[in-house]
Amino acid sequence: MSRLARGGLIDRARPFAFTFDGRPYQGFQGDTLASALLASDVRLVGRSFKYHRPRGIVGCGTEEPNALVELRTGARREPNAKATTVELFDGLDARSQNAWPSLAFDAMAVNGLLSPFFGAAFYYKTFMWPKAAWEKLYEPMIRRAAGLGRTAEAPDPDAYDKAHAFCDLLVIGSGPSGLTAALTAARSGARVILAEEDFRFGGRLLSERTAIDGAAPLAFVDRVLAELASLPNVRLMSRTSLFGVYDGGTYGALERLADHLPVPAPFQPRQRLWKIVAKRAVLAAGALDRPIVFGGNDRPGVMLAQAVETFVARHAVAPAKTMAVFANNDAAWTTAFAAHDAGQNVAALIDTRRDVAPGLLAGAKARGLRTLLGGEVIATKGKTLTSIEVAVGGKVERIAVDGLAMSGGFSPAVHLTCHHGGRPVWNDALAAFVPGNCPPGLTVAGAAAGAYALSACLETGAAEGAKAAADLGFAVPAVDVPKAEDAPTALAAFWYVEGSKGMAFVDFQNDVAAKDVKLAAKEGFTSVEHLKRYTTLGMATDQGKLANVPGLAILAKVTGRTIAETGTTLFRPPWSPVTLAAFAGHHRGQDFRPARITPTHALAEELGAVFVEAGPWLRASYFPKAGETDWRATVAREVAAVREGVGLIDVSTFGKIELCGPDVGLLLDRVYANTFSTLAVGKARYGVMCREDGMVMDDGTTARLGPDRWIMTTTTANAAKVHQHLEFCLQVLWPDLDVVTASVSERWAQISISGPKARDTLARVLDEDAVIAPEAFPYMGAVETSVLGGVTARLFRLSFAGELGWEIAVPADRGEALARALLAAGAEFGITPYGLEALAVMRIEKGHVSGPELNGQTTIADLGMGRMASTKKDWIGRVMAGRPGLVDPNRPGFVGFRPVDRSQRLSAGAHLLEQGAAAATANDRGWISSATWSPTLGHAIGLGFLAGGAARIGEVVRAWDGLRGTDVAVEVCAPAFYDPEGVRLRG
Amino acid sequence: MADLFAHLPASKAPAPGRHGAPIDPPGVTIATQDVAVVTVIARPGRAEAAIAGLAARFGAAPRDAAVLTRTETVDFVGIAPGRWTALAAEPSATLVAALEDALGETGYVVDQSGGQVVLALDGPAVPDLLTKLVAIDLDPVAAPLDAAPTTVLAHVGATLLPGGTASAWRLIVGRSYLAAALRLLVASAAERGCELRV
Repeated sequence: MSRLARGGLIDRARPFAFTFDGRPYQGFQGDTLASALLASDVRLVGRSFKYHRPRGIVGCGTEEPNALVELRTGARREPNAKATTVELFDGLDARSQNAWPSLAFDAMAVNGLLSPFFGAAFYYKTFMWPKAAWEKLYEPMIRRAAGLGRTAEAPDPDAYDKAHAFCDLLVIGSGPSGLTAALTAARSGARVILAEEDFRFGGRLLSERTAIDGAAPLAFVDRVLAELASLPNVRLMSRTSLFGVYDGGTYGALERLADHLPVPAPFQPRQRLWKIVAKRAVLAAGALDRPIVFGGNDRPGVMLAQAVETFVARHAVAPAKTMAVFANNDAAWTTAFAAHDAGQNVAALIDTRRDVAPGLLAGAKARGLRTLLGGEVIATKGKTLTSIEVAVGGKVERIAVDGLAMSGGFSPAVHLTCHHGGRPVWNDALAAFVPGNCPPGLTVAGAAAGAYALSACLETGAAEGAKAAADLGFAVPAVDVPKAEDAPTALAAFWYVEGSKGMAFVDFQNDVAAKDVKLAAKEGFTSVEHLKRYTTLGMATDQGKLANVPGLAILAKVTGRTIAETGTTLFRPPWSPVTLAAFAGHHRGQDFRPARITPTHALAEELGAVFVEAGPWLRASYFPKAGETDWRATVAREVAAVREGVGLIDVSTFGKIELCGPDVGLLLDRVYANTFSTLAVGKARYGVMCREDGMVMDDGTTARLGPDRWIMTTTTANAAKVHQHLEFCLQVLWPDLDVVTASVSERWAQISISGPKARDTLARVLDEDAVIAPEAFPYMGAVETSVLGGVTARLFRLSFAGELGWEIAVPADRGEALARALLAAGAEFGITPYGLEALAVMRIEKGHVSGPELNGQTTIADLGMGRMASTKKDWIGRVMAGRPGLVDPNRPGFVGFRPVDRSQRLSAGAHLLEQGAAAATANDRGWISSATWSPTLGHAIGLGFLAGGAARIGEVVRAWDGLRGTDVAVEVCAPAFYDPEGVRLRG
Repeated sequence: MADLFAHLPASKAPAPGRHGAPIDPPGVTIATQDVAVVTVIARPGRAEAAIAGLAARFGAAPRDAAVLTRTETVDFVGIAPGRWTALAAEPSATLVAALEDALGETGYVVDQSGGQVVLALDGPAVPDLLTKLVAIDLDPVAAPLDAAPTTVLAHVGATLLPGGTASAWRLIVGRSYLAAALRLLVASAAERGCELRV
């Protein structure tokens, strides 16, 4: 065991049992999986992506590139969890990934032997021949060989949630800067959210030894948190990753509610996706230690000095029995001292610098630590680290250690500052990129801004918190910034041990080595953007948190540029991985999107309807009966019932817009191509409205219910769009018109009954059946009346099916009652409920246009309704519809088709070709937009658009369908196949 | 939480009764209210006159804003400039007649009863429930106590009416979306316990 006897923020009274690769271990409450594994002397935790090299724990947080593990089993199996961020719990089951047959012996480690051939983009260069093998052989093989964890193969059993939060100031990170920023702003009365990715607030203070105001840092953390928690204007959010900055001060955050539990409590979401809208934000995310690139730097046992400090101080774990430190900066010395003082054996302190501050040398001497100035680690040995080779003063020395803390200096966590395109700026003094232009409202404090010293963190945090609050108008009380001594932070930039032995890794997770960066540059990929994509540097789940700067530094050197000249790529959301399920939240499975239900849905279910999605609506498609072999048989029965008796369909999904005011007629004249102002009260009229560009937008009927009250129906799909259009016209184009509109789509259930027996059926549900007497209620009539003993109703004498028919509208909550009453009333006549399929057949038989024809690319003339368009008034689209290309007589026009051989079928989507013409684009003469088999006529029919249009009626062309492999000779005919004179409709 | 109703077709609302965590009292109670719902629209340029007419008739002037104005018999909530939803526990015809009488020539009334469903939300978990559903800052610090936004909750259009306390609100949703809205509401409230009375 490598657990230190004392210290740490673990609860030794709460031991947690867990397994890794099936072997049992024990940790404590307060451990991460990484710290618990290290405490159990587990050094080898994974295999690398490409070479399957043994890998250990490198970092201590979300920057971890190596220690990716699978958690849990079955449906809850989760790949690629960073052991450094996994909060330990009793019963945790973790496994290594990307290794076979075992982590200790991985057969694919042979890839490492082939590494000389596996350079940057090797697969693009290598697997070129034969071409067909790429998709069938090479890519599957590569994907099998290179990879990470396995996703669960069963539906996720957990629940995920979404929520919104609002604040004046969002503080990201709860280290010294975050705490003082939050406290300062909170004391002013500003609403503050303090978000911390870790399960414990405090950031670096959890492993810091420097006193604050003369007391231990933890005492400061506890005091500030207690005050923040006592304030009603503060929300503290731990286990919450701020993963992205979006428009309008919106921040994306993922709160892990139950990831620290074996399974979520019943009904508890596992994770919650937050959209936080903040007027200001302070990024106090700290800084990340960087690796040094040298041969064998990926060997298990080599880790960042910052991680060593965390494991020792926070988790009371000695990461190694004997450790060396390899660094270029003062902070690593402080780490070495802390580790030594906590009980970690430190064999040597190797610094690339030849001179360091006397105080540091004195500190080492006082502790008996050996120092090697001007030294470089040039090799490492062991499956897990057993020794290092150090070159110093012209000599090479082997030192037996099982741990090496490396530190190449700090990189401020600037990632969120890039999310609006801000480019970090290179700072030579810090040898780091610091924030450039930040997203609006976001400022940076503390180490994230390059102010590494503890006192600077405390000060800048308080200052940014105060500034944000003051900007928002809050009176900020005088700030008493806590005092802290500063540890030394000097460094001399150092990136890469040239000539070191073995592979020197830059990006651990994607197995990008220094040689790959050099190769990319040699092959001309000298732009950082090209380098990234050519080598995959920084493209792994850790987003290059550790790899980017060393990689750019090597590129800069080999191209003879400075790092500032070389530049950097930008970081995109997410800062840390977010589960897709969290983005989905409630919206999966049945609730992928809200379903709209018609008023008669339950009745249709009772009647055995098969439903179809029509936009968000669920509509009855057809109503099969026992003995019917397929849906076509059902539809044929339903069509026959309407044509010969009476049928019923729910058409409530149509858009319905009520228009009121003395100028409604004038408005309609302008939005419809045909005239409406002359429409008499009690009458309805079919209308077509166009867009400004002359294309048809929608069609429907509008009825005049009173002198200044009208009701418009739209197609189902365009209900909202048409209403939006009308409001645009009224609010922007013609605000002088005295018209108001209201959507009443939800208000009215609308049932259509059609067929020769429609009048007889309807009469039985009307309170006054005289209203539908033929002489009183002609075709296209509209009246307000009542049904079912006093239920308000509107009747419209219309029928899309082309028969004697009415649409009856009643309040939506009475729609089902009306439908049931109509079914009862029509039982004597064999009334038949029918669905969308039968309706589609009947409208094609009638030659009525619908969605396939109103496709946004057809004009009113294309649709054969040019004569409807008024020439006596202006209307939206009139001018543009007159463009030469749109009035070309050879433009495809609306016609009907029937197969010359009546036994053949037609298909929508078929292209129209002249007889004998090759099936080529140049010969395309149009298309079939709608096709069906007409049970009424006993053969297939179709509607479509043919160059020349109605002038070609009587000719024969071909309907060629390359997808379905058909080529059918069709006769061009008028689009109305059934009752073209409308006798039945008007009967 | 979609899984809570994975067994139910998308067209089905959760059954009345208790759902989610067995907490007493439940964090959220959802009940339907039988009220008339009417849209009131002032004619262009006549909003002030319409408000005056409504105030004279009902004793309080509806504000031309997304807020709730309560009168003795009718609640008005602003849903757009010069436009309100009026609710009353009386037959819709009665409400329509009263509103038309109050408006005179200044505006129009469109009955929406039967097509709009009013859901009363009550319980200590309602504020948390609303943070899940509504992308609007309803904190009393940011929103007036009478704030009544018309918005969307998980793609379902809705108007929220404050009930006087942070834990009491009403929702108006279209009837076609009722099942979807109830699935969303109950699933979102499940962790705190939910009772559905519809």
